[in-house]
Amino acid sequence: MGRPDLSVEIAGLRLANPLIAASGCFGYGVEYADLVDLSALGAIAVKGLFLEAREGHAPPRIVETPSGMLNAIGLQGVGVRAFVADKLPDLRARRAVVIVNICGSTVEEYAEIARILSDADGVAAIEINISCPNIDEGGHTFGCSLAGVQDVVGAVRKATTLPIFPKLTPNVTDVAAIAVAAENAGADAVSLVNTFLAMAIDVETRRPRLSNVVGGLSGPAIRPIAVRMVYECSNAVRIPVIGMGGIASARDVLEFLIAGASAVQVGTANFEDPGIWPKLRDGVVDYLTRHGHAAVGELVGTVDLSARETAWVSS
Amino acid sequence: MGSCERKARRRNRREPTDARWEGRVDAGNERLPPLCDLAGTRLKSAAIVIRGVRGAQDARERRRPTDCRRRPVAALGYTRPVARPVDVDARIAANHRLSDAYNILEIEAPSIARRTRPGQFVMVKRALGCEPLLRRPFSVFEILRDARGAVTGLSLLSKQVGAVTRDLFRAEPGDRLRCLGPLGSPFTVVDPPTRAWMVAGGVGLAPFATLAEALGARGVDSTLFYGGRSGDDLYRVPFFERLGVRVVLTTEDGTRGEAGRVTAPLKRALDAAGARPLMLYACGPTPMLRAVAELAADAGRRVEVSLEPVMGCGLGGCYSCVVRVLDGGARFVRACLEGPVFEGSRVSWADLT
Repeated sequence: MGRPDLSVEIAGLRLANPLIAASGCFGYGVEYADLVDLSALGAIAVKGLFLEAREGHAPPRIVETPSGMLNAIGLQGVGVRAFVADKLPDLRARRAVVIVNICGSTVEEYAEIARILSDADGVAAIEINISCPNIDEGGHTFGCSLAGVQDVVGAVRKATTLPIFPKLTPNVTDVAAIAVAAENAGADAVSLVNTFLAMAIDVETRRPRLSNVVGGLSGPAIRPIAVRMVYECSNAVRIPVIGMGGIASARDVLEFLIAGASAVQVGTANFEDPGIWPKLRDGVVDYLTRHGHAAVGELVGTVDLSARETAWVSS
Repeated sequence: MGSCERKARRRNRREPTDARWEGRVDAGNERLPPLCDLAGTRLKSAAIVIRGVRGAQDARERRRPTDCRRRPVAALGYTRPVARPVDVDARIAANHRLSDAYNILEIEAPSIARRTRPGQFVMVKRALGCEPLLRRPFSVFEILRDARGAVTGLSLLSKQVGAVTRDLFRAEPGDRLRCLGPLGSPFTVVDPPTRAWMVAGGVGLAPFATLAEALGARGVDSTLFYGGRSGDDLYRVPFFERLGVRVVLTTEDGTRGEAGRVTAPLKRALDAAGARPLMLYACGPTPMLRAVAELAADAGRRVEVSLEPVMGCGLGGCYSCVVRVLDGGARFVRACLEGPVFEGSRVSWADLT
């Protein structure tokens, strides 16, 4: 048998492999060009962009926690026009598949950014950030209600023909219902999960360890919850699910695929090991070969629940 | 000796002397080390430069002009030092425990050491895994060489302050250390007749060993103002003296050198410094850096400070290590890219405390 086919298709977008650099964890991609062949990634989800440049929160912006980290960066960014003018040409020259993560304080801002990106050369898809827990306005607020999701996704859908992937927050009671609302509003796929709203306190000083008081938890600590949510959403919608949350090894990639994700994003682990990408890819190839699969797509949603009752009875 | 090792030797022989290496030769123009660069040790795991892009990287390196100290990186919006970082799984060659708190770790990472310029740092971690999750930044302390002068690795000066530094204190020779670097923007190395005054507080001595060597190679008249809480906090003074650096010591408890803070003799010296040009460099606790920056500003002298904010990735990906600078209308810039070395007058000190 030849080398297994790692390519995946999401909303008409053909990715060379299912490994995507997660937004907020890979800068604008160009920062990593010295260490990572950007064209070898399935895609890069660049740092979230508002219409205008944003300063972000005061430091400290991150704190490490058991098997994870909290961040409250506050979406520091150059703004969409500067991105298109200054970063996108470089990404295009490096043959990167670029997914642009967009944020807005209003529905109209989301739509305006989407229009600007539609006219730019080299944008493969738009990821709609309705899930950042670290800003007061927009973002998370939209992603926490069915109506908010519908408004934002609907407005972006009208503004662009590019594939649109709302990025969902896990900080809701029923994430699958949010995914369905996104699908009904015209989403081509959903990506999840963003970070879990969390907090850490220095007990000696009794001060919060982030200047923003609260932040988003990422890293291996959240992985089992993220897997569960990807599983729930992929059962609830017909569109593809892009899964993420604490992926740090090829086994983790496989777990998300089997849970129902068509592709995955890797964020925090890239901080620890910027050379993680070929390890993930090789691990997936090994697994596919070992299990006799010709293509990675054959794994998606293949979680086997049949042994469930037997296992419970015998335990 | 394997062929890889012989190639490594040949590269080492071609290596310019320190004087040329620092600044005048484009360190990044040197070819990337092969995967077996850590001659003789764990050849397969020595480097994790992404497979499959090696050829393209080499081609880009060859195309690069040889006489630029910094290359503008399109789209990054700033310039960065020429050497591209590499990530190596390095062997710890030695661990010198200097006291109950301080240790010097010698790391076999010549591919990083050879390209490191004074003030640059590495991101390190004992083993990939969840605890601790993130790497930690360390200034490169010394560039290590064998008897013939070939670069064999680098050392880190560490002080136990948390779980990671405690673990580094306990490390044994033969243990491995993931080491990513060189990273960040280096110090500006001055030329004579400008004098160089380095101001170090405690473990803030770390970036000055390489800087002192580079200054010495250029024949710069150099002084080190080195302060600690106690005599137990002061290390490697003979190293600097051998390089011809004048050393002024202070301790807060008066057990060694002048009693008090390092800023006291610095202020006296600044007052008596005369007309000859002078460049200051400082690394240490933030309040000390701020005081040095203020003294330098009052005296009308330039100072470069090496800051150490909390860092997530060291590569510009996470935006956690930002420092507010006063140019461009007060904005946050990433210390891993535009720093850790900053012009003292550029830093918004009120936002750092």
